[in-house]
Amino acid sequence: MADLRALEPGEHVCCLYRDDHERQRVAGGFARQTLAAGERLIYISRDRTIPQAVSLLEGEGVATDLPRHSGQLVMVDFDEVYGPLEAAGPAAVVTQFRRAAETCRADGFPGLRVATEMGDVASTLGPFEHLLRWERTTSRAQGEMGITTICQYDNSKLAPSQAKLLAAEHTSVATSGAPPPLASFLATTEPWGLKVVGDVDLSNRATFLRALRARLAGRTELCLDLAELRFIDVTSLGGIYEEASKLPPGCRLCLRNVPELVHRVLAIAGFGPGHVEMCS
Amino acid sequence: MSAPAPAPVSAHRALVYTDEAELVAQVCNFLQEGADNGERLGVALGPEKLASVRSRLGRRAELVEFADGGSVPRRHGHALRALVEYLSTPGPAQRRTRIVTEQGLAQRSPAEVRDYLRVEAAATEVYRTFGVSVLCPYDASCLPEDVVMDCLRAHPELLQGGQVVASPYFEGPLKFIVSHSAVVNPPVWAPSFGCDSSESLSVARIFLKDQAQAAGLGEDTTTDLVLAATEMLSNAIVHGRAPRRVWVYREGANLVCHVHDCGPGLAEPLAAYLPPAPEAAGGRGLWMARQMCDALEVASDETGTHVRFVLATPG
Repeated sequence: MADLRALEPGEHVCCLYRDDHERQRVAGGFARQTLAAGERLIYISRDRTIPQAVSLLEGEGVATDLPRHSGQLVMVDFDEVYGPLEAAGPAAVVTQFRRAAETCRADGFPGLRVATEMGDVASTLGPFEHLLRWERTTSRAQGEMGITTICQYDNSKLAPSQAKLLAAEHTSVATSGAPPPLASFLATTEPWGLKVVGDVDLSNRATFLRALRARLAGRTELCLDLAELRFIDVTSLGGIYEEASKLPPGCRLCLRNVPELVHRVLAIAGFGPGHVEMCS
Repeated sequence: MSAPAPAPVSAHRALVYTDEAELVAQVCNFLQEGADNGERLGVALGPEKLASVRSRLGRRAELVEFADGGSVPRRHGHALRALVEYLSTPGPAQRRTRIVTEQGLAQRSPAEVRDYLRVEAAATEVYRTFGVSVLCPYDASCLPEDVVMDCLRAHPELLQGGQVVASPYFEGPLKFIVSHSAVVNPPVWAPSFGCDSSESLSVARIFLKDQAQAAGLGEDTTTDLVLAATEMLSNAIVHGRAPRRVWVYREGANLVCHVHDCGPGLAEPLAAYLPPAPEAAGGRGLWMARQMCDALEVASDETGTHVRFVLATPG
């Protein structure tokens, strides 16, 4: 059973949904956890239009506007990515995954997750064995590349034995969503940076700093928007200053919309200002 | 904290007095000695004592930096940090510093007074690092006898009848802190919350906020409580052992927050009192918590480690 809150990079999750409600909870939960990790999500729609898929995510409380604008959430159509299924085959998928993983790092994300609506893939591919081979090939490739994925299958269109075989080609099966994460780390592009929505403490400090490092990589300036930061502990705040202190000369990290709580901690913590600046 | 080289000479001296004229005379002598050596001079005293010192010094007062009682932070941790910041401010090269500092203790709760004395004991280490001479007056006319005795145990030197003598009762910072830290268990009726994983910290914060509001704490003090308790619980999760629990309860005019875990506690008891190196991102939890409360005590018993800190409540 997959716990969406604790997915390992490269995990290949199967969702055999029985109704739309279950699908929304699992797909929405997967999306929320991606944003909570500050990673990129590519959502590949097949049996829904992109606007329908967007409302599915929003129905589960995923804010999509900023992530879509920054490229943290990419919504694409299955055929657009892979071309006609009959011609594509698993090799095309592996090629696409590799390309996506490469651009993901360059775009300032610490990791990549992919959610795919499998829709009629099973019937289009012909014999069921073809689908299993497809899953097996992509599973190995994405595992090696550290891409975490979730495949959404309509359980009512599968025989019970097929569902079992399909589940066996994945590393885990998700049957439920996940409670809202403590915080989301949303990429911003104008200005380049990261927006923190929620709380940062011991439970998500490492994830936060990993997202911050990915946004900082190769950049000379980063804006950390704290307008929707509700809590941060002293050590996590110190972590921001520590990351900034590693920046080369001429680079800077700006704190924007700094809440009172942060001012209060900074007044007594005595973190060396280093490359950190306050911006309005 | 950067230590000036070469190896600095320091002094940490108590002055137990019973009348103000005696205090003023001794303080002025101490400062004059510093002025004769070309030292940098700083004085933090209550406003009346400060005025007396200033007038007795006359024109020599120009050589002294004064901080009246109102500008000295009420919280001991905060006051020690302000002093460390003052000592870290670069003065003229190679000049030694000489300081007189007295905290008004007569109006403080017993927990705050006990904590002040532990901070005093630990400060000997800080002063050694900076090579500073510090004179700490204690008003025996209004302080309980046991507080005066503890002052003699916490200071390596005494100023007695104008003479500097080694304190016959001096215990050394570590021994003093260990022997003056005791476990005070929370009362059975105190509300509490079990917090054994980092995932529970956000719920613990809801519990803490509720308790702070019920006690009538203001917004800033509530933030202090939540920040300090989060640091202590995080320490307990990272370094301590399960089960871990936090209690919040009223004790007179104070709100007490008590964090317990079943681990062995601090390997270095002085860590709860000394400022961390500025470049260290971690390891400042206790130091930060100390800045955010009016008293903080770490003690261990056969059940594990107890961190107890208090915040004054309004009214």
